[in-house]
Amino acid sequence: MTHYHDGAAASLPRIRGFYYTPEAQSENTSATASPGHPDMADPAFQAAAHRAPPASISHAVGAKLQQLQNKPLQRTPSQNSISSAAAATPHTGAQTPLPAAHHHPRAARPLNHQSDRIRCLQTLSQQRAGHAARHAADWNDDDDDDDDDDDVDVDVDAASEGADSSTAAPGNLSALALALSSQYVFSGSQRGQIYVWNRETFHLERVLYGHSAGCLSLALDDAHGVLFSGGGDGKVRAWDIHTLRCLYIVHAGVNSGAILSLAYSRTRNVLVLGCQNTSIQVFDVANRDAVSREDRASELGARRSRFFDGSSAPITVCTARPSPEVRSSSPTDSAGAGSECAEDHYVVFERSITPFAHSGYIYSLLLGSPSATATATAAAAATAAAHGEEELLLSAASDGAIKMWRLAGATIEEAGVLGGSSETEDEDEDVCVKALALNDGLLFAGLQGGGVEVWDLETMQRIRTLPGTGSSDVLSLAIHANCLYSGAADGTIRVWGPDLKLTGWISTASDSVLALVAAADDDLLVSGTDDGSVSFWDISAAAAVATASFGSAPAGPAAATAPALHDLHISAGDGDVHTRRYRDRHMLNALDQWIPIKSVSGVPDLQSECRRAARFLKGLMQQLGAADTRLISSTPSSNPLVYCRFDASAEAANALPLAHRPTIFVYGHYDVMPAGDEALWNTQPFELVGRDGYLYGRGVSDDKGPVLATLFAISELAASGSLPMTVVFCIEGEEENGSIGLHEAIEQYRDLFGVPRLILLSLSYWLGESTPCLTYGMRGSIRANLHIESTRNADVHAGVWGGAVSEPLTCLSHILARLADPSGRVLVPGFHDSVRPVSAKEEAEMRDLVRWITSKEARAPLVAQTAAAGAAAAKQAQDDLYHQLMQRWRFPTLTVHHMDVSTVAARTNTTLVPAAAQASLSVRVVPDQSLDDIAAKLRAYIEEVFGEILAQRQKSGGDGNGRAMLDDLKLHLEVKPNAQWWLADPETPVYQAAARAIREEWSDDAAGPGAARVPLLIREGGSIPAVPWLESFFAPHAVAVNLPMGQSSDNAHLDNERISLENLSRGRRIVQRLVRDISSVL
Amino acid sequence: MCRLLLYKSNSPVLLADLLTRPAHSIIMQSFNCKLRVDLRRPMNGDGFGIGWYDEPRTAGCIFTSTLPAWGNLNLQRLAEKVKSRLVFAHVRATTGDTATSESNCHPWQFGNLMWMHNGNIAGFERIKRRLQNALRDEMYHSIQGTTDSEHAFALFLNMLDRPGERAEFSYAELRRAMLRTIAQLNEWLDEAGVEDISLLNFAVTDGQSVVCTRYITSADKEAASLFYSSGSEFKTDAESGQYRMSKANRREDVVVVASEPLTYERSDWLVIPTNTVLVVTPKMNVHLSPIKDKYWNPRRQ
Repeated sequence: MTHYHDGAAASLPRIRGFYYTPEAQSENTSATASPGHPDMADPAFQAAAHRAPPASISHAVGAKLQQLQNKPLQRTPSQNSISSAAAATPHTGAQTPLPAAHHHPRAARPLNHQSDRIRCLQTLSQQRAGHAARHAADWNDDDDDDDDDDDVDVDVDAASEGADSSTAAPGNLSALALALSSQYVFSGSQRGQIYVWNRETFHLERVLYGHSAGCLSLALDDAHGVLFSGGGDGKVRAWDIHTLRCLYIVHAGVNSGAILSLAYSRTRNVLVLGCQNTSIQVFDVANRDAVSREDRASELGARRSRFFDGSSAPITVCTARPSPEVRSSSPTDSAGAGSECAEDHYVVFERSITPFAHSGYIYSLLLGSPSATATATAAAAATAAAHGEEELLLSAASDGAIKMWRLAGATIEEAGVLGGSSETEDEDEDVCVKALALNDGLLFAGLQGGGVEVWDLETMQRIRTLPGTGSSDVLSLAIHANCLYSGAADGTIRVWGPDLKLTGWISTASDSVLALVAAADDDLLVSGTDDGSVSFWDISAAAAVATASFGSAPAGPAAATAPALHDLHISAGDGDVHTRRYRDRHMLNALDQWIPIKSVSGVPDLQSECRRAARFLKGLMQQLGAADTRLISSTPSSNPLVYCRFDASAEAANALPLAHRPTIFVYGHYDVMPAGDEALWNTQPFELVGRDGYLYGRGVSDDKGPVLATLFAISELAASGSLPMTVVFCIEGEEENGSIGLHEAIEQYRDLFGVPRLILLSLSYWLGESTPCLTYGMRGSIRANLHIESTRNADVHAGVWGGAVSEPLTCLSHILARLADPSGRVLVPGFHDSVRPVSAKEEAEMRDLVRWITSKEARAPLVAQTAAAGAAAAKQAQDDLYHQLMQRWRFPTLTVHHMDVSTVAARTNTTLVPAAAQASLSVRVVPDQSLDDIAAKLRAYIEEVFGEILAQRQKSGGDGNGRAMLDDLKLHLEVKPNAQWWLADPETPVYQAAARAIREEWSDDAAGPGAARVPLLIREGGSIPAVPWLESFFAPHAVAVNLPMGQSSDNAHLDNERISLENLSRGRRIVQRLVRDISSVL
Repeated sequence: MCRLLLYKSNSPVLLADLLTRPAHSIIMQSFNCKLRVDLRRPMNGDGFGIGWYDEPRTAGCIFTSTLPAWGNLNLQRLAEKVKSRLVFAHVRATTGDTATSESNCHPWQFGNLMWMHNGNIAGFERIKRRLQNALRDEMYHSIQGTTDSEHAFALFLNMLDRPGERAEFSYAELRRAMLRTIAQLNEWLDEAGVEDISLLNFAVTDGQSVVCTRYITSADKEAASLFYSSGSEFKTDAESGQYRMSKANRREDVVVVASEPLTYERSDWLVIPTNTVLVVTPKMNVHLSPIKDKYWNPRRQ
């Protein structure tokens, strides 16, 4: 009955990619105090933002450094620092709170545990993925290698995998090296495999086998689309980053040991190798065929080890991986050097090797010109070259030295030494340099034992060593938007602002951050850790601050890919990968803030949370440009509906008054189920966690994720001027609680919804894991409560009174026993009369569907259960599945949910005759059963059976008229039609359009013979009361379309609820495809 | 000609994981070595010794025996129980005419320092008096046995300041002393006109740093074999059941140097180039640098 025209929400601070709930806002006074810098809610960030933007970064940094050296470092006092001891402990596997936490209140909590700071988008596990990939390989033998849709679209968390991954030896799959292409993230593992992850969907695309020892280094040549991987086996492999096939193998010089570092020079097209045997080697990629195959073969043939290749070798050396695991996309790499003389094998010859380049292991190599940034794009490199700026090679090693080299042909010349004392060593400084990064003339060196040295490459001076790094080895460095990220052996990533002040730290769940890479074209940082995880961090907040505080400086990546909301809307299609990626990120940020709001309906204590969730959604709708947003409530005790409207882009389409205007009606809900047994969850239920391509959290699949996907889809269409008709959203808060108040609210505010022609919702699931589906039917339901009560009104002693009193529970049992026979067939007379007969066509379609599912969805829980029997029983399994699906979708059923007795005493004490007993049951109805007719028949039948029981009792009781009994029995029967069945006609143009939208969106993935089958037309056994009700309420023109986004393993209502990120992202685009062209089919 | 092994790690290793269990452990090398320069027999059966450190900055412990290592029950028993972060091990095949006695078994110790040698000083008897004369009393009296190796140790000690009184030495100091020892030997050998080739694979440690050489007094021949391996852990691989050097964390937590690889895992073992000094620093950094004297030849294969 109330409109919540909420003034506070209207002034929500609008932040690039972030949303503040009114509650969060009120806690943070500083945000409202400085409306000019709404995104600087955090004081430390605010302080950074207020610094005057200097003219040139290079000089600014220098000047700032001068200042810093002259005065003690001062941290900005924090207004909302967290001082509790608990908060100061990193929530991670890492051992100790960082020393920095004591000095810098801001750092008391990792940035990734502060809601608006750095967010982990996904954590991918090499270990889990490895198992899944192996699994996939087992059942996909017949697939062509090129068609990797099935074997890479692996559901790594399917129940069966859980046990596998836990038994695998831990710590064997460290992610040691990373590289980033526009499409993929490559992670090199301790066992030598290279995992290829899709940057958008976070799915594992491929595992590259080849190295017989760990893959320790990676370098990318994006101009030619080649990835180079350096192995512990002393070989470099070159991979095509599009086909993901091994192009060739480069053998480093004799006795090089592990290739610990790689650097690729775009300008010279050479690859530089940093080796364990202290040598630096150059491989001339461009002229690699200048040496004849014969010469290469003879060089390799001459490389024989007396020990390993000696004729007296007692054991044949074999380092190749066992075959079942190998889905090699490359020539197999045999162990014997002599056999490696195929034409794809190249050799680094002695003339290109600089032995003893250092007097220690070459842990890091870096190529760049002194003034260029480390994340230099091809364009930046070209610019540097154009200015005649020389490309320098920098190397760092376990001798503590940093050396500069010039590339000269296929070798290098020393150009200077920066640190350490490799020759004299009188200082005896026992420090190893583990990582290098370059930004704008400043070289950063990550040190063993903690510390990051900063060197000015122009003056060759060490400017300073960054304080606050702790005492753990700094193993990895990355630069992004003038910020420095340092990964250490305490499992943290420290974040340094452009002023080289510690902004904070990111806590990973690992012990060591071994590799870091920042995207040049995105606000993305990727970390590789010793637990085998590859994590994706959204660092847009840090990048935004850096950009704000240091002017418009790099017209580069960060600025280009992090457009403000309105900019985003201007760009039309979704074709651009940056736009698409950014939109996904944008949606995830919203979901990240919405999931923690525990909007469980039907729980009085959480009513305020429900209201927060509603207000959050309303605020979001407002920010996304909805024409009207409100909370609507029909009854004071129920959670409000969230309403909003997006008007059509063309003014003409809005000419009619709203009440008469054709609309699209989006239905969904923001309430969620309780978390249930939290012990069963692997993550916090009310926290959005991205892992292995999935998002986990209560409500993420049912229905907050799909609601946001739809909302973003529509708002983007509206903003880009391609929304063909008015769209209204009706997102209720009582769906899980019987949709209390929904009808009343819609009836009351009917005019707000116009004349819905399409009712759009996403409230069901795919039948399996990998084939997109479209739902066209659901069963209806009737709920019933039987209450049988004795007139005596009290429990009595069974020994004392038994026989002389009525038995309510026995009576109830008799009734229930007569509702269905042991096979489950409902015995209510006339119950089956109106069930629509199964036509031959229908049966054929169902059998076809079952065949498809059993062949393509072997990993789906549904199929796994039935098909486990083996090939011999396949036919039987298909029959079984057919019958199961028919029973679930096509036929009615009756379930007794629960029986109970009147009192707690009667429930627990086995010597009482209860005074009353009750049972709750439900009936699922199907076309063409009438809800009222079935309800009436059920009621009549139960009453009739009860009557019979009474009559029987009277006949047999004492004097034949039952008067011997002390009491009488009464039946209270409540039969409540809950939901009408719903059946859409998949032949209608709207359904055809929906199917087309799904097919087109997934077509890049579902190529091949299956494409025509996508989407599968499916029904659901469950019921959504609102759907048929809305259809009939808005009759005659309204058609409901249920677009399922989630997979069958999404665990809605259960523990570890999840949704595939790819499904959510594609779901958003499917809605766009459908709505954009809706006019032609309505 | 002998076989030697040294091991340094951040966390203690059970001796058995080095000495007895790997496929080509030093015990295997004692009766089936593959890379001996001297091909008379593949046996190193003239005794053995193991030295290990327990507490940092205190002297290590040495156990030697004149029995062949392969049959020594006490060695088996000790190896199953003793754990250490720094281990020296040596199996001996006598050269020259020195006795098979416990005092002639490597390693030797002096204060916190421990020393062993694989090779021989050619024509040692021709410089022995000169060497002894050069020693300070402290070093001279420390010599218990008759070997060239032990005398070389005394000469090494003579290069250090108060070696018996100090708990620690910098790795640079140890390396300098090592290089001066080799230079001094070369000088005397030249003066004595010894033309035969000496093989000087020396190893020394103070319990914190390790310095070892692979050295030959020849510009074209190869020195006695010496390999190294480093990584995060030397352990049995779950898949193959063989020992492997895992590299899991971009750090060297384990360094092994041995006359012959302990396993047949090709990618785990690197050759220390001839005439090179290898240092393992207290923080487990491995340094390799060439010994650029008259025998240095970068073109040597």
